[in-house]
Amino acid sequence: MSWKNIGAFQVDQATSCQFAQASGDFNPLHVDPILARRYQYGSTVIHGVCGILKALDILLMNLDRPVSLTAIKAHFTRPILHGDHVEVFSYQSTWHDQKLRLSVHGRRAQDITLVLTENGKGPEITKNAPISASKPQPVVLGFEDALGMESTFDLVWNPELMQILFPHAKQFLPDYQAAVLLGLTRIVGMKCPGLHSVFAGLNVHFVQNPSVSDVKMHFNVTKNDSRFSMITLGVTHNTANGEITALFRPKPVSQEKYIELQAIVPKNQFANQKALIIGGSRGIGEVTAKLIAAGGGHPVITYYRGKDDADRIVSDIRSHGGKCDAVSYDVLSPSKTVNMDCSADERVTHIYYFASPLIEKGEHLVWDDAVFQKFCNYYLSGFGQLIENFLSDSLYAKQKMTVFVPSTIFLDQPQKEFNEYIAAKAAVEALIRQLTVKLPNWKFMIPRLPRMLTDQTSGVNIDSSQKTAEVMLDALTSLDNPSD
Amino acid sequence: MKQDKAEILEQLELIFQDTFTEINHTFSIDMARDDIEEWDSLSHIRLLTAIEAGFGVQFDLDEITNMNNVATIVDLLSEKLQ
Repeated sequence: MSWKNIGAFQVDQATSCQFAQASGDFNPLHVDPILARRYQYGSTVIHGVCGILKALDILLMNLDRPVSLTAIKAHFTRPILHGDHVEVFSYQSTWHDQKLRLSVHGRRAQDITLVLTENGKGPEITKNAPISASKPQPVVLGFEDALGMESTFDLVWNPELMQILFPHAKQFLPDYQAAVLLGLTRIVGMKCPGLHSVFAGLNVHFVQNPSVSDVKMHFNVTKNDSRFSMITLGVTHNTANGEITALFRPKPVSQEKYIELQAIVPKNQFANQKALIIGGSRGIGEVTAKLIAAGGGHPVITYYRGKDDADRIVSDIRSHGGKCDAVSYDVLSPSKTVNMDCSADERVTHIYYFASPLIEKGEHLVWDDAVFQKFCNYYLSGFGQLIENFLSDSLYAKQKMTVFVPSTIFLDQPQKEFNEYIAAKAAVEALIRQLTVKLPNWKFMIPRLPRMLTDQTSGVNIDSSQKTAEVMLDALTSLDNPSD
Repeated sequence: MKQDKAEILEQLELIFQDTFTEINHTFSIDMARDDIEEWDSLSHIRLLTAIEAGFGVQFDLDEITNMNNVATIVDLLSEKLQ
């Protein structure tokens, strides 16, 4: 026997929102692209249980008859992004024993082990959708908060949505079994660990031929492992019992507050800067904006999707007497000249360019063109277009301007991975050298910055990065003020 | 239970095969984290918990931090299973 491809599926953002309604798991990791961009995957991902039910749907379409789960075990090994082409493979040792594997770009995303019987549909569940019209919010727990936690809640069951999402599973699998699986994702995503969670795996056994299916489901934390921020939860329903494992996902990185940075920046250090900070709503851009404002300058931060983050930074700076504005700007579709948006009575003196996609490894051993192109779109095309926008204003073409573009220390310390990212940064350095010749009035700075603590570098139990504010203050103080 | 390094390596190979897709024909004592693209922080947790369950041992944080290649894992297991 060997693995056999039995089908494929894709899940888009809208489908995940439907799945959230069907399961009650509205964790923003799955349904909120703006918040999820700050989590470790850089975007929303599909619910792990949605992947299981999609795979079961394909299996049941092929089997074309009612079955019942005796047991199901699953490991979620890699996140599945919205739009990923997911291939489903089956390894069948006997009719009753099946293994399914979900694979994205040839890499294992989920392993599912099933024990099946030929029992019929079992007791029906009356429609039960105790989800309020407004989007429910997951609880926010720390690892210590979860110890000893237990709760009972009502399962969600929405047959119409199940028919849309998983028609074959709806037709051939007992309703209560699907409802229990949906309950598991709701526990992890909404209740424990809740907001900052990663569903790692499940192992559930089902009672066969139950006469009635309750809507009550119970869970309790049975084990915790602080080494991995991992907990094990026991789950019970009148038709099932088992356990699930979940990890506490690192929270988005919070940079220092403005008032903390005011203490380390000399009062008028950056007083002559009207600084346009592309990508200033978080990470290095956020810190740069606060440092410049703390030094008496006037940062104008741009955001693409993070308006709330940008407004929070502006409010933080202004509430302590600093100057800061925020404008919307998409480096990939720069339809307007952003410098016009923020000029008013002051001309921009400095441009800081921090726009970046998620810094990820390519899918191939040596080179991944798609990943390289993504970096080039941000670091070269987006940057080049911005500079052209400024040069289209003849005054800017003649005045002094300082342009700060970060490069990477990886160019001095070659890595075994991230080939595409490093190559793209090398290309940016080459472009900057060209511009230095072409624009003698403009000063370009492209320091090779070390790895710093941002959303891009946060990871599960990894915190080895340098303080962003300290590194950036050093970099900023090395700039000459063009107005001097 | 006392196991020699060859036995440990044999059992370890099964755990690696269960954890990583791309391991089937390449497993060896010389293999390191950099050789396996899938060996990220999440799969590291899964690998170590599987090793702990499979061998009936527990690693402390310092050990976990250093368990980035097969040879180190075998040495650690060998010590713990003495």
